[in-house]
Amino acid sequence: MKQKNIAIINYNLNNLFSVKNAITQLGFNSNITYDHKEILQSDGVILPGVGSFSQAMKQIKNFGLDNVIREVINEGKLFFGICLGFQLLFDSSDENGCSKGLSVLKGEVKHLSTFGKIRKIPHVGWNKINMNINDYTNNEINLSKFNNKYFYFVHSHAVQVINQKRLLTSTKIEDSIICSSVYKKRLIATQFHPEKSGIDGLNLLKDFFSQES
Amino acid sequence: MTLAFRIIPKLDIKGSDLVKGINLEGLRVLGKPDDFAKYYYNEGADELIYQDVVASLYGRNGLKSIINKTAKEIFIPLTVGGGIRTIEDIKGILQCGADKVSINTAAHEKPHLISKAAEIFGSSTIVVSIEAIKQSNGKYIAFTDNGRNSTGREVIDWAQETVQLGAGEIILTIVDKEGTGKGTDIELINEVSKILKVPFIVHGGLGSINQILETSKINSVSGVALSSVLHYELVSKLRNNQPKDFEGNTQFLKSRKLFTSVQPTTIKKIKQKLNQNNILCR
Repeated sequence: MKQKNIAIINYNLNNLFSVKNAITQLGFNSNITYDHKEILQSDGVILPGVGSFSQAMKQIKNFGLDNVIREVINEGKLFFGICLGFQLLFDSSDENGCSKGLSVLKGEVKHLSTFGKIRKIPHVGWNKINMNINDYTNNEINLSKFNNKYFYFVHSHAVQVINQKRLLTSTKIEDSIICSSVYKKRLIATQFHPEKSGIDGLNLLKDFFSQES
Repeated sequence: MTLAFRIIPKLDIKGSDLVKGINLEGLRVLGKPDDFAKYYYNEGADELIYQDVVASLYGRNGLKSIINKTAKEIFIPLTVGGGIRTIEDIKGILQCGADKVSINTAAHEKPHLISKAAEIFGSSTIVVSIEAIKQSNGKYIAFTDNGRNSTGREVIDWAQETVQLGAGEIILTIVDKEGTGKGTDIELINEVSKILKVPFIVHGGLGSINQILETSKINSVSGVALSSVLHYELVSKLRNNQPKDFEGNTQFLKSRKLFTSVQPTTIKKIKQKLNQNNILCR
């Protein structure tokens, strides 16, 4: 069988090697790229990232990647967003006032201080994810085995669970609850870092990209 | 707390070898870091800390190739310290696959490095390492260069200052206890944990499961960095760990004689014990 090609979207902000290392370990080919054609012709796409929401959006637009990202998601290509790459899919973020996102998903990204009394911000470390749906419509991938497992988080902003129709998992931070992952068609996006979450994280990526592309 | 309590093996590196000392001194070779890192990863380590123990002393940094290799095989956060002095140093270490850097000496020499680094890389990437030594007058003073040089700064003040500068995590080493297995300094840890709002990792002296449990019960301690207590257990298991390939002091590997109070154990056993006592672990 031909090895799958995963495009890791590069918008020139940060170190993408840990994502690439994880994908390589799982036996997939990958390119770190901002080339539209490479992304459109890939078997699957990862939108990674840590750092500033507004800077990332600026770069994505500079490279003309916003339309490419919407296009691959709409056509049903396997698409995985990680951390900032999860947040960018929403309508906006309150970072630096207000920044517009890609609006692939409905919702706002807000600073953790707006979620109630969270003492330690950023939220850094291993936390559990709780499955919120049993009827995740994609039958090719069984996510229930990740329910209640620990994944690695590093972030200061998050998405509310209330009114979040695309909620896949939620996570408790002290007494507050955040949306830790979402799904849409053949997209999954996570606030946590599967590439840094040990065996469970690798298995999540492996199961996801092993689906028929 | 909803975050899991972190068990973090700390790998002290000299040249290409894993070493271990007592009170950060008298380094003895234990093996190759790669063997230890892989074993700990598979056993459920939540993170690894790599410390180039001579970098600060000799003003160099030779850890990159080890990190580069580790990052291809190990998929948990990696923190790297030792001899980091500039923004370029940090960038270089992160590009090798590290997730965080830990800084001590350079933070004292030029505190603005911390604020600048936090601004560029995000504060969650910047860990400040504090080496604490209790003075005869009862005060705890921050040291540099493996406890050799006093900065004159009190630990509590310095911890607060670095967080204000942008440190996203503090790792506190109790130098007098380090490598001894005689337990940590609960008094100081209590004091520091009260004032910190960033993750707080305790290191030095934790030589048994019960000492680790005691530390984990202190509110606001996010995790422990462990060396001897894990390494000495593993050394006895590793075959092919013959002294001949190593550069430094291999006396320990030849004699296998422990000179400390450490009661070696495994990550699995530690986590089991903590979970039994309602300390959340992964």
